[in-house]
Amino acid sequence: MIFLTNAKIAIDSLRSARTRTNLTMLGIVIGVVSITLILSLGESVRQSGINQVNDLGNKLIVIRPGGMQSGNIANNNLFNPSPIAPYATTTLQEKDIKPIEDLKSVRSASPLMLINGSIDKNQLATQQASILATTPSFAEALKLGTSNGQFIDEETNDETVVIGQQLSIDLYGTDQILGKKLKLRGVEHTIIGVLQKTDGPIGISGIDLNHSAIISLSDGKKFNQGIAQLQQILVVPEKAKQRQTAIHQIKTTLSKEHNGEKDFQVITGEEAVVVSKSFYHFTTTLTAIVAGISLIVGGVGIMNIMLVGVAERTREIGIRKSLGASNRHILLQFLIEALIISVLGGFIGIIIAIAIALFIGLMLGLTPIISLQVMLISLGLSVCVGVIFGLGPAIRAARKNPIEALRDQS
Amino acid sequence: MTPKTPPPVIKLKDLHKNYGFGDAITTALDGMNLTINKGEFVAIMGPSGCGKTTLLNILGLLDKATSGEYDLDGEPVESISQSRRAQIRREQIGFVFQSFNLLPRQTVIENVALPLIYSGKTHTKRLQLASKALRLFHLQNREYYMPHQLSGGQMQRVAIARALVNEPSIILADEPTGNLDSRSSEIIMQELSEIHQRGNTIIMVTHNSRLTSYADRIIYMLDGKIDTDSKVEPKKPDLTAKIPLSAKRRKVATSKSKKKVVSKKVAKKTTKSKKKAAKK
Repeated sequence: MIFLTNAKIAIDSLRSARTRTNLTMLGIVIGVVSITLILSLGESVRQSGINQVNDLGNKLIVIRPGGMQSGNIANNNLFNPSPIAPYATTTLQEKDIKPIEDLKSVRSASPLMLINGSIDKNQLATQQASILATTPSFAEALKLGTSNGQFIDEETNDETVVIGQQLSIDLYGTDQILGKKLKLRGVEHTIIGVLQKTDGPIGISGIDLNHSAIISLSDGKKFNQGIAQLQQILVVPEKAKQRQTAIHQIKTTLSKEHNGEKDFQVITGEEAVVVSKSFYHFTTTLTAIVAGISLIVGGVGIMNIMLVGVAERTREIGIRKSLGASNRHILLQFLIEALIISVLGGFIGIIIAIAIALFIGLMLGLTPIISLQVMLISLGLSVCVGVIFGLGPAIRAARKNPIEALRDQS
Repeated sequence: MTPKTPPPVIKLKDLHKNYGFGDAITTALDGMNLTINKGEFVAIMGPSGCGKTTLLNILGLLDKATSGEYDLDGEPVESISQSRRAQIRREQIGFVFQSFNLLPRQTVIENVALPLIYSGKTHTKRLQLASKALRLFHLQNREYYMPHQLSGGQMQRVAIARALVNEPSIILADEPTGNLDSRSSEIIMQELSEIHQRGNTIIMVTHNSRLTSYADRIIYMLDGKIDTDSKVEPKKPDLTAKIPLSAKRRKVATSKSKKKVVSKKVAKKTTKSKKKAAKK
């Protein structure tokens, strides 16, 4: 009862200083918008990685150059970055593929060679995109389909290319582009296929396939003095159950090939995404903390305004006390006022965040996930801010001496 | 047979109130002994700084005495908790201030209903009671006015309605007419007198000796002590002045020729109500 009445008193007093209330609320709105947005976009990025892992990851094996231990990939990458490591010559070579493919437990092994270079439609339209050289089994391993044309196969010539859907749209505005010519690092290629749209930028391949051009390995080698520099080998085991056996056999075989040097790592599909997943998790947490600081700033705004309100309404407090209001009544009145600002700010913030998330989602091709959990977290945080920062001024108001308060002339 | 004396509502015994510390101590009340019985209309007078307002604040539980005893309705109140003090304030005491102390952002009826919020009445009940209290003071057609739209006299009547809405046993008035012209002062005093006749205890601080004529006991204070304490025969309220000014003006404006008739009517009315009051 007293709660409802106090809510009405609070709404009246907030309404009477509308500009001030709105500006105070703005602080909370900004804080809630940033937290909700970061949590929901972070969640959707993470989710797109998970989808791919669920679809494919538990069946695949990934071989990567370098000797890092799989357990510590994330930490090593995040906290011990080696800026020149990416420029080192990779330790995986074309000759490694054959012995792996020959293993009984392995169905296929597809090499992946990344070539940096520009893709020109003509002199006017140039795109920086990743050029990928691989073998036909790559499409099978990642279950890639083409929306138009075909994937590279044994019979297709060199100088043919399959491109990602987004790249096709960026260059031509359509994906009906079979037979058109493209220049990859200055060499003319004929487009023979356009890939179907795939999930977002983090996946097992580690490459955004929507923005890449895929050529055959033999073609790719021509850009690198005839030598294949492999960034990754994707292995499909004969049976999903045999994966651990396959991993073990691959390790033994490769060790032999590399004269006992452990300059490669064999990991499962899930582990391959751990790096990107934990990186996104890390950045999401970090930015959410920064956004949390903005909510605290909003809270300080509430505290400031509430203190001004208490000072301005000292006489009112005196009158209320003389008419029988107890300290608890006054405390509740001012606390509810702070809570109204913060809860209302929280709601408005969530609504704005949903709108912005949908917009950003459209721009980045992500499906924003605004879960009930994210909304409750944001709302909960804003309520906490309201209580924490409203409590001080409310206590100050409640403790005012009624006689001095009645004497107040302001 | 001894005449039946009503029970004391207020009993002060050797009450002291000091302000400040050490060398800078100011004594506001210096050993007050006072008993006020139920239904008394007490006027407290005295020069500035003699401790009248301090006494009123202590009686109204807004302030605490430094030492001494204070029994309110037989209950010692010096050592009770803050929340109990607040409860007594809202149930047993009604305040009327010199500067009205209405909340400027709330309507007249909301102001009157204010004490009821804290006694936990529902919204509808609050408005009903407030409306009833306002009707007593002929302000029923000003319910949704804002305080700044009222005259000083009307504001003070609203404040008195607010003080009465919880039906307290004691009304404490601190110079209730201090900010009013003589005509409005007269009306306010008559209102208080009427409330007194209904059985309320009224304690009023004033500087204006003319107003003490409505009281039945006059206490003169000097230097924090009671100087004189005398019982007098109170003046009966003259109810002519209570007819709302606006109503009078309207009648005058409608027809000048009817002026005499109207004034007769008013006179009749007043004699009737005088008789009623006398009967009471």
